[in-house]
Amino acid sequence: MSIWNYVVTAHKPTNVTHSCVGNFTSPHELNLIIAKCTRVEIHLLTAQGLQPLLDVPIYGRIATLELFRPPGESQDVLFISTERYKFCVLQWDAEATELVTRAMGDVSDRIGRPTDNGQIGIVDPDCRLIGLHLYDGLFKVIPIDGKGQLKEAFNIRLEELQVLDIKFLYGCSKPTIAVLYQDNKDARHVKTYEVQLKEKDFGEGPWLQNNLDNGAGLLIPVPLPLGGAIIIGEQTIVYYNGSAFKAIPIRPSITKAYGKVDADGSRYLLSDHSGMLHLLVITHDKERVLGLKVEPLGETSAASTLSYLDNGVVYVGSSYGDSQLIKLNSQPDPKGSYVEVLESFVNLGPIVDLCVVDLERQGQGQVVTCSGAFKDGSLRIVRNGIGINEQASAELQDDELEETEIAGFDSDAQTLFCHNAVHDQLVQITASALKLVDASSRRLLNEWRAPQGVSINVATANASQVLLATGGGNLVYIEIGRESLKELKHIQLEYEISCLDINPVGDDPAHSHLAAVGMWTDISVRIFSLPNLEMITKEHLGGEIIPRSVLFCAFEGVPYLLCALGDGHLFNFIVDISSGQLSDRKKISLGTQPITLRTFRSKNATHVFAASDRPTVIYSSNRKLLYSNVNLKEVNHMCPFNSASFPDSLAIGKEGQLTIGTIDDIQKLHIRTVPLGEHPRRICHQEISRTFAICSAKYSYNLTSGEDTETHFVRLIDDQTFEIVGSHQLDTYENGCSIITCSFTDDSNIYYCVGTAYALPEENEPSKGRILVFAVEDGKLQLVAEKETKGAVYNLNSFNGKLLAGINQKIQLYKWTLRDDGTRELQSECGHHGHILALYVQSRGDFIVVGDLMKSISLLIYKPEEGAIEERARDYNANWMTAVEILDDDIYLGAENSFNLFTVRKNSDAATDEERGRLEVVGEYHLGEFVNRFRHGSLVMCLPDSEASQIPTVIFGTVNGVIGVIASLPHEQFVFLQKLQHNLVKVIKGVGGLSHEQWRSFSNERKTVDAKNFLDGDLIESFLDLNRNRMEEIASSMEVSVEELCKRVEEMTRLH
Amino acid sequence: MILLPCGQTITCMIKRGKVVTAMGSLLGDWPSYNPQNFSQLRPSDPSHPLQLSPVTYCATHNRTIPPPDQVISTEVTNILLRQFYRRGEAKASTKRSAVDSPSSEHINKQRRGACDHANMCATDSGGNLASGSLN
Repeated sequence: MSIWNYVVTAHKPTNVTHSCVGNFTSPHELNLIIAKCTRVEIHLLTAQGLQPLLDVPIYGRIATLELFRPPGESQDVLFISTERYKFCVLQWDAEATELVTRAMGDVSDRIGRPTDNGQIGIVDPDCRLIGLHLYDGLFKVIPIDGKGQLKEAFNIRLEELQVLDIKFLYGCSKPTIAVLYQDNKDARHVKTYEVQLKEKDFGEGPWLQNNLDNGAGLLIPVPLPLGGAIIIGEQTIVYYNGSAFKAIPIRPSITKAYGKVDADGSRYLLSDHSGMLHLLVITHDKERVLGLKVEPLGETSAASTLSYLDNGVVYVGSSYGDSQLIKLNSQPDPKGSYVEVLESFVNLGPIVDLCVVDLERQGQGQVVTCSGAFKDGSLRIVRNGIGINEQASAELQDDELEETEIAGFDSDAQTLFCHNAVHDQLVQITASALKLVDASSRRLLNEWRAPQGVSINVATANASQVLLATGGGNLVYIEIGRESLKELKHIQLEYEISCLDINPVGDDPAHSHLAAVGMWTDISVRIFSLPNLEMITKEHLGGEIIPRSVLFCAFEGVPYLLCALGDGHLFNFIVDISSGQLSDRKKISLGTQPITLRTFRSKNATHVFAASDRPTVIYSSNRKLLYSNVNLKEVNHMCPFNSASFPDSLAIGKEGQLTIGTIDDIQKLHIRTVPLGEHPRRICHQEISRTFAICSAKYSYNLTSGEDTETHFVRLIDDQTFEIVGSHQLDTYENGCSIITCSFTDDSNIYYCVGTAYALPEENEPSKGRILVFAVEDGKLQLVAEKETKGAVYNLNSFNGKLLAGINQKIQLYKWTLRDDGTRELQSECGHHGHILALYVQSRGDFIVVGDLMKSISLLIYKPEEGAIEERARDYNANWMTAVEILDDDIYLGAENSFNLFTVRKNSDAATDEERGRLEVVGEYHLGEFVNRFRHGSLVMCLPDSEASQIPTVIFGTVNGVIGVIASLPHEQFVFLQKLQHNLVKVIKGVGGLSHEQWRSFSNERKTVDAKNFLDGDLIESFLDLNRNRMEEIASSMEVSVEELCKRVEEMTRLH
Repeated sequence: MILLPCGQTITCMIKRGKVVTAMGSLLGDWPSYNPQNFSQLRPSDPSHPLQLSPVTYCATHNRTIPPPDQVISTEVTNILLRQFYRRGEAKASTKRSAVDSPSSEHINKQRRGACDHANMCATDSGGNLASGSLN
């Protein structure tokens, strides 16, 4: 790999952190707005459900999200603040369909300690100010005037240092906040303050309440007429408004989210850490609060946000499981639950580990992630491309599929084309004749014969028309009637014809008034009118490779002409149906062999199957053409096949084989979920036993003791069925920390090795752990050996036939020795001290790369002759690492806990020892995601001669459920794309006025520097979303053609 | 009336002699903005979570930059200095008014009284917030 890296998202964040409901896109429409870390999604509530409108990328990690209604306006505006202290107020312009920035700004302070409990951003219910709590001891106010204009912000000193929550109270003449805080004796209290905008200070608030529940963590302000606030604790819920005080005890639980149901604040939904949904009811007589009630409703995914939508339907946004749309019923189901899940939405987050495997052995990587947390834990199998699920194959003697004879067909000649025609007829075209056959009686009805000594080379037909080419550039047009074939036109072209198409894309599905013709010699594609065969337009394709397949098709109502060449390239044009003119020419590379194009329908949409050495499905989404790989190797032909035994199927012709199959939903990434009901933490795959092994934790609630308990397991999972086939329970307090599959010198067996830690409640850092060696015998886990360690075994690596472990601050090498009794044991050979915690370790040859808890990356070397591990070099930055990977012998990749990526390089050729001992930082980039794991591998099919597969890639998984790809580019390509990125930044603006350059700058508590040697693939690939004019603007400043630019960007999209 | 764990709640509510609400009425009468919303939604197969993909928004217009007066920054004066200045201003204004008119003390007193009165009115109309504070 190289230092020039391209970072792109293969799967966008799915962890829902915030949500809110309001009239955003129009005064009369209700919208659900969802924040997924770096993206905002806007949905519309409709009779059919949630209709997704927009996915808005934000140049920042969203810290807070609120809708508010400026005075005198009929629509809500959206307030967003980011973790790097930027904020913006967005408004939807329905006419222009644009997100307009009403206001934005920087709310950072030069001095201040960032809050421990997250940032708080709230809007006064009477819209007089926005309040922000970003630094301990400071409350920032952005005043809003009577016209909804924001004013200069100012800070107010807040005495409470450990703030847990702040909310504005309703119905106060002066804006008033309630602050839930913890004092230095760990007791929790609520205090209120009036915000004096003129004096820029706090005034004494109307009430306070001391000594709350020790677990109080959430404040809910109650609207008028009741006013006051609800304080949610772990054991009690309290209502207080200065005079009335009501409290009720609850079963111990940690409430993570609430959602207001009624506008008057009588009912609230609460979701706790285990996903139990409760209804909190304030009983009142419209003036006074009489009491509180809490009723359990049922279980959902553990919520991070709850939004009541409409008519008893609620959105449950989750960080730990799939988000859901639920309905609250008034009657319980048989299990006693009042909750009905209407829809659930995939969430891969948090991805704590992943592995890349080729389960179907087709040369295509699949990612298997440890996703979700606690009870919502699952494995997710993420695969790129579209799967064909084989139903039958003609090689097999299948009862449902057998050969049939059609008497009217010429079965001795090679068929060029065969199709269903009007009036229940069939056409067959061979080199000598066109035959029309009755589909039910199968007898010949009519025949058109090529003139003597002339043979038909290429032919095509639709239900009522036939176009065929005979040698010498002759083109013949024939119309099909009932038992009739009428030759209507015959012309001669100057060159031989290579391909034809008359697929109807106009209003009449049985008849086309345009014909596409591909030509030899001048390498062109021509459009002719039908029935006159007059040439409308000619498009030269350039190069020396002839067009092999042309096809008209309409995607989402837009007519296209596709033209595939003999070398795997594909052109697409937009067709003007009335005039027959072509526009918006684009070219991409699909494979290396000739392509045959064919349309098919699935779920009421047209798709095109491009059969070649790299079969591809072409489809359109949001009026953009997308290309998805198919999980098949080399396909020659495809046609739709719909019969009683095989409904909605495809017939696929491969070399010497016919396959009937159904097709997956058409989308780029396919995700299969294997729910575990427990929390998977580490995963690895073992080829030989065809199994996965995972370390997982099961959480349960003990009814007798009233406590939550956790038990840790090593589980063995079949890699085809994903069933758990074996388990090994770890000791009390023992956690699985690492797992690998490995073999040892002088032992032919392959083992699973598991590293553990005893997480004792009284210890800050584990002082004891184990390494367990398992063999898979008869599909079960057999413990072969175990070795106690003096700390947590954070990682394991197979290392030259030995086992390398990172144990607390030490790197330790073990060899696998044979005892006298024939059993094996791990014996310590050597080690290396000097880390804070050696959390992440990768090895290559004798080199060991260590990612430390807080001391960035260091490079160690194992010296076999001395039996010692020594430090060779280190990065002297104080990066707190979250993952490391070795890109190549000299370049190492790291992710750190301020959401940055960086690369360092070994300086073996440096002049001095000092320089050689220093890892040079060569690349820096703000990813905006917390990376938990890097793995070498690719999500796409590896073809030996395709350009894209020459680019080495690393896949990463993040807390927000992002799967990303880092691709190392050749320098020339990097420079080209860097120039493109530079030009794109001028055209594609940051939503909310946020700057791309600032967003991608490497930034942590210690430094902020511009990104270098990393490119933002998401931005670069959004080039393809631009309209033609914008593309041309960029292409001209890049001094290349739009076609070339599109082709190069499309190539990058094929990396994921 | 529905029999649930809430049976217990209902009895205890009755004992306390307060408003009795059955589970049925707690869980009904959901607020409705547009009765049509979700009326035609059929539950999907829960074992196949949806992968929604809305159109990715791509801003190429010039209105991502707010009006110049709406680019907000924080006041540069720090809190301590602001307090000093304010005290200074307050002192200066009292001094000035003292110099300006010898009878200002009397007027000042009256003004403060009027102010207090106004404040009390405001809090009263604000829903009895001041009453019972800190008691």
